[in-house]
Parts: sequence; C-alpha cells; structure tokens
Amino acid sequence: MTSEKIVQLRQLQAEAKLGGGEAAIERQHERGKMTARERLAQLLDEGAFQELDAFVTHRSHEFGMEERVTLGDGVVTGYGTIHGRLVYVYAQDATVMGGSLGEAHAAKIVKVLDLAIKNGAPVVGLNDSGGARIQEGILALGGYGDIFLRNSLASGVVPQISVIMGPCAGGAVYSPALTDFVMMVNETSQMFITGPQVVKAVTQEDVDLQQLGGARVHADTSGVAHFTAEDEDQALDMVRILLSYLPQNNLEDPPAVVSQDSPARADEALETVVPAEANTPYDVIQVIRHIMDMGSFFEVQSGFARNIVVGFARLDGRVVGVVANQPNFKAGSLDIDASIKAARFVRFCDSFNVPLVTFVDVPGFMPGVAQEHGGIIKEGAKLIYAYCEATVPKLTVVLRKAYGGAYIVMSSKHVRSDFNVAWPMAEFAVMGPEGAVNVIHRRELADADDREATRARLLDEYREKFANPYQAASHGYIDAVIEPTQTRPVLINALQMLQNKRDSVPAKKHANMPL
Amino acid sequence: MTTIELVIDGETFTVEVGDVSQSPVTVVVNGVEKAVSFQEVAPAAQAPAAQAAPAEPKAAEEPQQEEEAPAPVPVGDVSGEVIAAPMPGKILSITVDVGDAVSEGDAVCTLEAMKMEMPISATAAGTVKAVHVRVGQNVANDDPLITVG
Repeated sequence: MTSEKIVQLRQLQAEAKLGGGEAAIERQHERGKMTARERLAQLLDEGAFQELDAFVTHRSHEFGMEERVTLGDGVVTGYGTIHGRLVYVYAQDATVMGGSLGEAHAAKIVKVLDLAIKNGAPVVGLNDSGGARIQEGILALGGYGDIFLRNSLASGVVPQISVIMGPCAGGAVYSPALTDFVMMVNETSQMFITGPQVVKAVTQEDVDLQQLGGARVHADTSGVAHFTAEDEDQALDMVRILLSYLPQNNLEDPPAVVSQDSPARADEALETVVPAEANTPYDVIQVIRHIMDMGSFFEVQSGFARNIVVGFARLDGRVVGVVANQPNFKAGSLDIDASIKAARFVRFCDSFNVPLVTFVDVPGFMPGVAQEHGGIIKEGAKLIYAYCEATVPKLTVVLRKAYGGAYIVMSSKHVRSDFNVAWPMAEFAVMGPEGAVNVIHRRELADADDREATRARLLDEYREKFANPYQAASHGYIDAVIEPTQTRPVLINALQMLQNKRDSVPAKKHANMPL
Repeated sequence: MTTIELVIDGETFTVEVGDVSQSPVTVVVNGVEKAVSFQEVAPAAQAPAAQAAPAEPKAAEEPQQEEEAPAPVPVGDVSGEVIAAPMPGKILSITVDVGDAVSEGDAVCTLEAMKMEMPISATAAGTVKAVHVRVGQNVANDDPLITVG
C-alpha cells in the first residue's frame, strides 16, 4: 500500500518537473534558452534548490482551460543558497502556456516574496513570460497587483533582483522595475509596455523587438537595466557575484571577506592617472581600481549616463558603494540621467548599510535648454536628497574639480558626509576660472587697454585663490589634503573609524522625495 | 550687393548677398559677414543638419536652406556610421580628412565642452566619408560630426 502512494508521488513529481512537456522543452533549447529548472540549478549552489508549490494548478474553466492544467502553473518557486546564503527564487517557465501569468502562478510568486520579507533574505526572479494569461481575465491582472504590492513592501527590506530571460511585456515589466536590480540577456530578452505592433498602430513608428526594448536599449538609453549579459550562463553568474556584495536584509551589514590586497598599499600610479591640466579628460575607473581591493570593483549601469560611475567594491575586504564623476564622458558634468542613476544607487546603499565612497571631479551641472526643460532642477534634487538622507558612513575624495552646486551635491560636508579629503590638485570654487573672471571683473575687463593681458593676470589671481584645496581646508570643509598614493590607506583607516556610526533622520511616515 | 529681407519663423533677417556666381560668396546677415559656399544638389532636397541658423538665400526664388560655410557636408549625402557629438560644445580640432582610414577608437576630433577638451573617437572602423563640421564650430548634442563608412 505505502509503496503505491510513494510511486504516485514520484509520478506526480516527474510530471511537474517536465513543465510544458518534452517538445516544449526542446523548443526552448532551440531558442538558446534554458528551462526554468535548468536556470535555477545554474543559479543556486549545487543541489540546493528546495521547491515549493510544485503541485499548484490554476482554477480557470473558461475557454477550455480545464483541459490545459499543468502542475506548477508555469512558474517554479522555492528557495536555496548562493555561496551558502539563503535566497528565495522564482523562475517563470516559458514551456507552460508561454510562461503566462494567472492567479495561481502569481500566488506562488507572492508566497516566496512574503517568505523573503518575513525571513530576511534576498529574492531573485527569473522572468520569461508572455504576459497576463488572457483566459483568466481580471484574475491575472490582480495577480500582477499582488506582486507589485510585495515588491514595494520588500523594497529596502531585502535585496530584490530581476533577471529578464525572455519577453517581459505589459504589466509584467513593472515588477522588475520595482526591484533593486534588473539584469537582461542580450538578444533573447525584451522589456516594453506595448510591443512593436501596438506601437506601429498608435504612433506609426516602425521598430523591432530589440530596438524597442532589447538589452542594449535598456542598458544604454532608458537606464531600466542595470546589467546586461551575453548569455544566460553569464547572467546567472553575475547574479551570484552581485549577491556577494549585498547583505541578506536591511538589518545586516554586507558580507566582509579577507582581502588579499594590502591595506597599506600606496599606489604610485595614482600620482599620474589624473592629468594636471583641468581641461584634460581621463578614465576615473582607473582611479577607482587603483584604490579599491584588487579586482573588486563591480560596476552597475555601466552603459547608462556614463558621466557618472557607480558600483560596488571592497576596501580591505569591506563592501563599499562607489560614486564617481567620469571626466571621460560629458566632461563628468551632472545631468538629468547622471543624477537619477547616482541617486538610485546612493539610496540602495543607504537602505542596505553599504558605506559610500565618492570621488569628485565635477565641472558643474550640465547647462542647456534640453536639461532645464527636462527638469534638471527636480532630477538633480534627487541626488542632493539621496546624499542628505543617507546615514551610512560617507567618505569623499576630491580628485580635481569641485565646482559650483555640483560640489555640494557630491557628498560634501554640508550634506553630512563624514570624512572628506582632497588631493593637492583639487580646486574648490563656485565656477571655473574663466567664467568667474568674466563675471567678477566684467567692468575691469571692459575698461582695460590690453584686455588679454588683464584677463591673464586676473585668471592667475583667481587660480591662486581658488584653484587649490587650501581655502576649503582652512574652513574645515575638508578634513585633510592627502597625497594621491595615500588614498587607499587613508580611506581604509577612515572606514574603520566610522564603522559604528549612528545617525538618523527625524521620525516621519516617509519623506517626500522629489520625483 | 543685393539686399533682401527674409522673414523666417517670424524673425526678420536683413541679408546682403554678393556675386552669386562665385563660391564662396560673401553674405552679410544682420550686419554679420559670412562666407557661404554653394554646391549643386539634386532637386529632392536634403535634410538640413539640425541647427536653425539663419538660412542664407541661394537666390531670390529659392530662399530656403543652404549650409553655413566651407567644410560641412550634409549628412544625407553620405552613408555610413555617423559619429555624433556626445554633448553640446565647440570643435577644437579635426584630426582626420576625407579618405583617411580609421580604426574603431581612433580619435577623429576634439570637442571642447564644460572646459574639457574631449577627444571624440571613431565608433566604427572604415574610411572617413565626410566631415560635417569645421574647427571653431559650435555643435549641439547629437549633431553629426564625421561619417565613417
């Protein structure tokens, strides 16, 4: 008797494992895609996956749906470990009705999200779905809403990562958008509110799937995607790497490792990597790499708003979030996209106890009609807001230019940064010398007999006064002027000094961040 | 010199045009002297390269569009990968000529913006098909600079 029951269980388990069946699995493989279960096996530590709700089925009787019942209802959910740490997972199964989302499918995702919030562990969602299961009507839409609610409630409590591994259209895009990080796979994933046919009908624009919502577009242009991977293997590897920088929840510190890189390392290259001439660009990522633990810098949103660089790294084994102006692109100026990108990253770090290290070389906010009309005032305010609000340890290094309001925004003492240093070539001023001299000495220049000689003299005077870090140092606006080679040991020491930092914001329901 | 009054988008330009049989021809727009070169174009007009600069008249009967000055080649005339301005700024130098071979990543010109002199690199390998700007010219974001094909 018992053995019959066990045999039945095994049969059901085998049926559930097949999802949409062998033919559908083969089609998925032909498209260069793994099945939901293969992806989970790849993502999690070996043999670590524990499934939930394998026997859940839908309850729809419309349009012949009672004939199309599949165990699991098109999504594989459960939990497992990555680097030995608990993580909740769900993977939509495109072999079952295109991975479409119905009531039961949504309820399974909701269950793991609720578990994640209660137990304080990250959630990784692998998305591959044709969208709402139309046959289920409003129950499918309600399912999306139930997921959105959990995503919003989990925000800032546990890290949420969405990997897009196929189509993700309509309401489905908003769950990933509510999560902390979106990863897309080149060529095989798309995200859009409406597909090319609807776009064509409404706006007469001819556009294909990839141009409309492929990985490249979202990584470089819209900023929706934080990471892109060449294939599914790489995407899943990147999730594992990303999680190695993140705490399990908002009550934990990020995981520290034992660094192989000497904390005292004084890197000579830092003396030459930043050009002395203020008008010569350079790659700030080189500066970051020379200072952080060797090989630890993991860039986020590398293709979007390249005038600012954000990413995770380690300093003597401790995780930090790096924000840096990138002089190589748009002169490192702050514009709408850069402000939004950095603000979102700063807020993530503050939510999850990741100390911030900011490298400043900024000529100012980007002028122009497009920026003003695009709302640089409210968008730039987001970055100010994010830095002001953040209570994690904040460390700032001024590499070269710190001009205008942008200097204040970029983790200055005034937005309650804890430890600010400058390199000797740093310049703190309201604006660059040329612009400043034109404004301050307009009359003198107009009256001058030899205008160029006068301008040159005034420029020299201005530079002497402001093109250095010592005025800022004399006011305590920076804590020290340091030699570039000492940056790594100085930052590691300061991070240690700040490790028990406590700061807070006034009690409130929540703030009204500029949006 | 023939003097014409042009009204473009409600704005009035007083334009004095020199000998039109010559190229470049001296044109004075609202008192500012400019050298304008003419070239024959197929009747199906080309798309003008951005910039709503005051249009110099080619002749009285054809008062619309003509490019601003010596070098620029309209984008529509050549096919290939267009290297565009990453931000508004001024062209400081151009390091390639039409016909030069370039590799991806080679510097093709320098753009000064926000007091930074930024080398602009080729986004594709190939031969320089056209240079759309000249040294000293101000460009807007996304303006075509050089076409490589």
